[in-house]
Amino acid sequence: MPVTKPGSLDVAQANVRLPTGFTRPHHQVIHRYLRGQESLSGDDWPLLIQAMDTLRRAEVVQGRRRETFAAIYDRLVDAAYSDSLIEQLLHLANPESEGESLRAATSRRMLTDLRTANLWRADLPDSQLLVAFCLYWWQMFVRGYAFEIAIYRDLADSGIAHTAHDLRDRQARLSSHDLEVMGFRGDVKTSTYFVLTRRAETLDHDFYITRMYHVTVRHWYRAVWLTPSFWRVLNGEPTPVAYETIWQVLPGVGQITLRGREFIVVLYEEWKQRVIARQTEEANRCLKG
Amino acid sequence: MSERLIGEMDDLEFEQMVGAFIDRPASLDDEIPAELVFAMLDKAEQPERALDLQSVIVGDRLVLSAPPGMAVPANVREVEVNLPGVRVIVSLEPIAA
Repeated sequence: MPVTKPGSLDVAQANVRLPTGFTRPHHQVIHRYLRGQESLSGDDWPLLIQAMDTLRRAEVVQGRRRETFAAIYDRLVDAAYSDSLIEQLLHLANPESEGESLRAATSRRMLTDLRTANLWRADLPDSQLLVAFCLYWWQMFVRGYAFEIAIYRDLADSGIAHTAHDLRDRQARLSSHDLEVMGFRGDVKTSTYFVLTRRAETLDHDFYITRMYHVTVRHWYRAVWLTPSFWRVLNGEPTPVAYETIWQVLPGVGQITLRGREFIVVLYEEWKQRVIARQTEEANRCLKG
Repeated sequence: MSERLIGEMDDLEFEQMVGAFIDRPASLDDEIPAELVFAMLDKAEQPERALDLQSVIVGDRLVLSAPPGMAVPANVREVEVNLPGVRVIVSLEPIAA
């Protein structure tokens, strides 16, 4: 009788079940992503996000036992490597650039783990999609936390009073918001794609610290999207614009409407200066009082 | 000749590709331009269409059917119901002759 290690598969019966809605264009875009991100066109990015989101529901099936790609990722990647990765990022002088070597090292170990668990096998061709899925989400994870750590350091270096969730604590990492500034709750997002994903849960915070890539000038900007109630505390008059014309307003202050909600868009440095000014005023008032 | 995709490549070819992927440092330019996100927003803001199915229990079977006159997309193979803590998947089987 064959012996199967806990958490590994009986190789004779395993199969990969792809979700309805995972199409050939999804296959193709994942191939282009792995081959080299320079082969991805602008239109490929939303397709790639959609493909990887869809694959969360893909399953490795063995008899009556099913495990989704998302569950496998949680078990073999997140639970195994996320705490130590964040600890290492916290010790790097520049987590955004230096984190890449950590991502690569962990990715190699991840491949070995998938092989050992019989989840990546030559005779199970669609298991290649599980490999791609894990590499993609791990890259997003490393990039996201490297950016978040960089922001927290910058806020501290700038003298901005804030409280942030404890990245070393797994439960705290999953908190509903990442940080608080002046009593307002916010999140840190590596790019504006967050407005397109997990739609029901997004846009509930008072502010989002993010990055916006301006194609015309080929430059990344750090920006903050905040609600009018937060903005009122910081003063200033925004210019209402349609979101696709926001670059015509920045580095001024723009105001856009997304799904019925208004957001002020301001460059990160401008937002910081206004927060510092407001917090300094408050501190002086307390001293006088 | 059409290009072989993930899931169609032989193991060695795929392993070489992911090895190169891992060793290639990701650049900041890899992410989605804000312009593209904004361009996608109009589509994202469109509400999803609901597909209302009717159900009836026949003996020990739960039978789902579309209301008269409603066209069910031909590519529907399963229906997923998300409840707190449980995901119910109803697979659609061909009717036995």
